[in-house]
Amino acid sequence: MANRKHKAISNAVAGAAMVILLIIGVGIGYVIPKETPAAQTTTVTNVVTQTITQTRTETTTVTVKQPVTPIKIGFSAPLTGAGAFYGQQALWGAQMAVDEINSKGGVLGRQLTLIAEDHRGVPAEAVSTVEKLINVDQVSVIIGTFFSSPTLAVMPIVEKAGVPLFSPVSSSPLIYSQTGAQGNKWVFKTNPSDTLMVRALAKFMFDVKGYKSVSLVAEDTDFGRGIVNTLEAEAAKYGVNVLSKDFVEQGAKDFTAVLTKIKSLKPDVIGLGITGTAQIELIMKQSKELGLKVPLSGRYDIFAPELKPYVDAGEAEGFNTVTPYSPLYQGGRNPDFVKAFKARTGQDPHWNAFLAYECVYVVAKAIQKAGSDDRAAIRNAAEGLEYDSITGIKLKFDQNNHMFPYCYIIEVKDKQFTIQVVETATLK
Amino acid sequence: MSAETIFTQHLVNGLLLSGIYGLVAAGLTLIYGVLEIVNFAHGEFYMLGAYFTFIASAWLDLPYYISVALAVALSTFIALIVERGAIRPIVERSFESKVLSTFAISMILANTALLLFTATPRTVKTGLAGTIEIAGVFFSVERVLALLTGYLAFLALHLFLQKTRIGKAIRAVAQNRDACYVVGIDLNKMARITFGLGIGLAGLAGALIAPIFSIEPSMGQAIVLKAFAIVIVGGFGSVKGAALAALIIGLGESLVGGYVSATLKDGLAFLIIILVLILRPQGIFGRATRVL
Repeated sequence: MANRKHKAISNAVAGAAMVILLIIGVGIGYVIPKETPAAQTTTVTNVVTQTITQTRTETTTVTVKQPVTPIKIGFSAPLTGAGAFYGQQALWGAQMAVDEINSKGGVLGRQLTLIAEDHRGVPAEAVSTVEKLINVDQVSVIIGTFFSSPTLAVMPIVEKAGVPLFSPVSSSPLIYSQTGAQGNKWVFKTNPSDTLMVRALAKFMFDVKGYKSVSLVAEDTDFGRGIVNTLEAEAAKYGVNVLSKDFVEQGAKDFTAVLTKIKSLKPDVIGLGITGTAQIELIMKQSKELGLKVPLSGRYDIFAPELKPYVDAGEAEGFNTVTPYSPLYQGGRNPDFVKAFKARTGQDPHWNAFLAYECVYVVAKAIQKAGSDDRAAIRNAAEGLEYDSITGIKLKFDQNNHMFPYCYIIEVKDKQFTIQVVETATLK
Repeated sequence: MSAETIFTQHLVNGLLLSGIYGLVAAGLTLIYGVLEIVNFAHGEFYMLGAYFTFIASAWLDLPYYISVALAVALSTFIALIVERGAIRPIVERSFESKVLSTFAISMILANTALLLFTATPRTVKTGLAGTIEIAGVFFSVERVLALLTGYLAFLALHLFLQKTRIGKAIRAVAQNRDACYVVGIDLNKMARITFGLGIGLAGLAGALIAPIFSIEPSMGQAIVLKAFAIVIVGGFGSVKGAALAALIIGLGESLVGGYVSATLKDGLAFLIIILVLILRPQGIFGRATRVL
């Protein structure tokens, strides 16, 4: 009897210890400073409300005089996970545009509110975030989802619900072939497709740099497969040999098998289609460990913070890529944008930040033209909408709801990034 | 570069990874052998080991080897608390209770880590990054270190189980529980030691992998599936089998990734499971359930 009592007590003690450990653990989570906004929507909403409160204090008088409800813009992005860096940058860019617009009196005399949701880069979660934005938050328009597979997953949903989706970063050709006159009238693309960007890059790789052979490595997603298909087609046009073609799991960590194979094939260049910044670092590290020295090209994040040490050490000489934006671009009002963004966040704007920033302005213009926050009215107004980009180019949605802003060829030379501007409209 | 050098490089790549697989699988199979529990939370302890290493080396600026020791100690400590609170109460219960209990631990640990560290991948810098070239074949210093530490731990485990009184008692429990009651072996104590030991090995594997790959809260789910595959191939409860199966799967993945397709690489382990289950359902070294 005494023994059983003893057992019950010690069971209770152990149970209590586990609960306490859990509480301490969770507690630490709130105390530990975080570099990036946390998982789950809690912290994300914190970020949003914080900035909104800041804006409110700046414009107190305006808000008091106009007790009208704000116009809700939904925002779905990978705020945590392998794409956390991109999602954070995108949110910063979008929020900056919203703050700028609100400080000038908003749109139609109403303030804009950004409701941000995290889909972690997972298509299924992107679907839930978009459904929540449509049904629970009742947003007028959605900006997202920044990754191609999640965007493809939510396209039928916004079409069915009748909510305009403005997509500023996803670049898979599969998205572009379905929008506007080709089918889904609710989706608008404000960035150039991979088909156009890779065409620009292929000219640089095979014509300017004169690479004669290439090995392709891409993640097994709509984005990765799109890049490989386009690069393969372009290589054929230039008579360049594709020595190998490998697809790895998104978020893969061990590239040694593929890199060893590439080492034996000795290509002039590796054409990548990889989104994760951690993956680029692992590719660099493992290439170095295997003694593989081949320049990287294709689509990957050459501006990733993880790649910086390699650029500084001169181990990324000749690396090149094509991007939909570069903070180095000196045209239009871009230098002012870079300065303002840096003052606000302490970092250079990534293309996710810039494209999200401009997309908010495109959305604001569509709402202005529609004269209301009605979903269908905004969609109708967006058709054929014209917009003056801060890069100095005049943009307009064509019959397929595509805009054709500049893209940029970036190359690392003497530990510095060099930049070349390409007009994507000429590549159609 | 000759085809032989490339082939050797593929073998080396596979060999260096098999040490990590082996450590995780050995802990899993050991716990099954003694406690008859399939520990679904095993991968999460591997994740904890990696994060403890990250905290110690990146946040507290401790040297890597101290971080590893600390990570093993802390994961074992947490394992002992978990054993008392969530394993011992269900050891004599039905199979379903055991599965649900360890699955719950797995979910609690993975989501706590997600809350604490976010899903953003982290990296651990050891200052040991580098490579050694021998006749055109490259050996990553960090990976060689992980392999050597892994095999040392394996050797230590083998000696412990074969030579010490406690080790013999643990093997006795795996062979015949009733007889252990008769000769007066404390089953609870053996279960506690085994669980701590198994988790310590998982924590060590996590600590060793931290500088090689990026770490994130979901990393445990990927490795535990592979560890299950290794344990099934090697035979449930057999530490020797786990070591051999880890070697087969590590080398196989490397060769498939290099010569066939990187997409098929992660499917290989499961293809081998199917083959083993058809040809030798008890696993390569499987003899009912027993340790060694």
